[in-house]
Amino acid sequence: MKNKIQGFLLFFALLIFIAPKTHAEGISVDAGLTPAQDRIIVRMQYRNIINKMGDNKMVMHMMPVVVAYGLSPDITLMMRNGYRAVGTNETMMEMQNSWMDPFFMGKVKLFRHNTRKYVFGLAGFAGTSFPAWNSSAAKTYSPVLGLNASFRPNYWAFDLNSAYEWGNYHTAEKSSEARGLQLNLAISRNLLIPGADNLVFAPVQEFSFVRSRPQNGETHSFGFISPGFQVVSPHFKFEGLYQIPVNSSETTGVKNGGRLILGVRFMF
Amino acid sequence: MKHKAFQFVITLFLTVFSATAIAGSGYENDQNNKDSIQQKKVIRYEVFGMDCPGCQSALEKQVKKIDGVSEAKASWQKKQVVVTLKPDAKVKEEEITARIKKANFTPGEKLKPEEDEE
Repeated sequence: MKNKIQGFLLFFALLIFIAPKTHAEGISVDAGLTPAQDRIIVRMQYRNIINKMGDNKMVMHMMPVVVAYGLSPDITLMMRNGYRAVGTNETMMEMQNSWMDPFFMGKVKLFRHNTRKYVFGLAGFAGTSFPAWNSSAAKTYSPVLGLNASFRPNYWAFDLNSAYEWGNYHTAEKSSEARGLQLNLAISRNLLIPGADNLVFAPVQEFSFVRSRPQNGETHSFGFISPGFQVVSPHFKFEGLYQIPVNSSETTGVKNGGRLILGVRFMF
Repeated sequence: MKHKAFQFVITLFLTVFSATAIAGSGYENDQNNKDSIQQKKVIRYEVFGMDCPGCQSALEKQVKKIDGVSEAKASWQKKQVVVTLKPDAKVKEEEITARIKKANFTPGEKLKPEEDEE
């Protein structure tokens, strides 16, 4: 086991430090600065989520789809929806296959400085989910406010995403009210692929921190350490990430297990 | 005899006239080709802010929207964009820099085209 971990760390270190170049944004969150005007980005993901209650396991398959449009260089509109399929459910929690509530978001460029050596930018965002379906998860809104900071020196990229969510903001019929703070740092580096000028491979390392504060119950902090990668071409990105839970306990009833994310992005 | 001499003069005149016309038109074609090559203008700009191949396509999409641009090729590694104009196209440089900004990048210096682009 120790050898496996050492091997993995060595492989990751090799990807990061030996190869000369590349970069990427966060994979588990909608991070990044505002894209070009008229840019259309479609992102489709598959997320395999394992949660545990004692010895009982619950496996869910999430398929979120995100469509973003660059209204202007300073403003981006984004819509997200997805389908949740429940695989194995050995717990007592009632969970059904359903479409998720649609989520709409606007992102505004606050600052961007492009130089020969680096790019640094800040973007603010505000969004909310809408209880559009009869099968809506909470039958209420969940507004989110946040800030993206991006620093990209040469082939490196550091993307910090912070978001504060008012979960089940209004009247919670199905789920209890909660507040949540999320911080996500994605570090990556572009590695050139020999013979392919328009293709880069970018190993990604994400660190996520979540502080969940239910209105009734105990505040709980946990996180994920997530190694991953992206393959980037001019019109296409393929990405993969594995989220390893840290400090996840059953104080909120459910303990997080590992999460696998696979996705594609099309950029027009 | 007089008739034959007249026929010879007419034939010679037509031959010389035709040869001159053909040669002239050839020269004109060469001249046109030369002009069209001269009119194919290539502009190269330094661009800051691109950091992956995805940025290239975003910039190319913006620059190709300019009326008079036939081709745009960006390179995130070289940090530049090469813009090829259509023959006789009149494109203001401000239009190109404005499009670079709409792609959320910063135009740098205007560079000399490389030899194979001229």
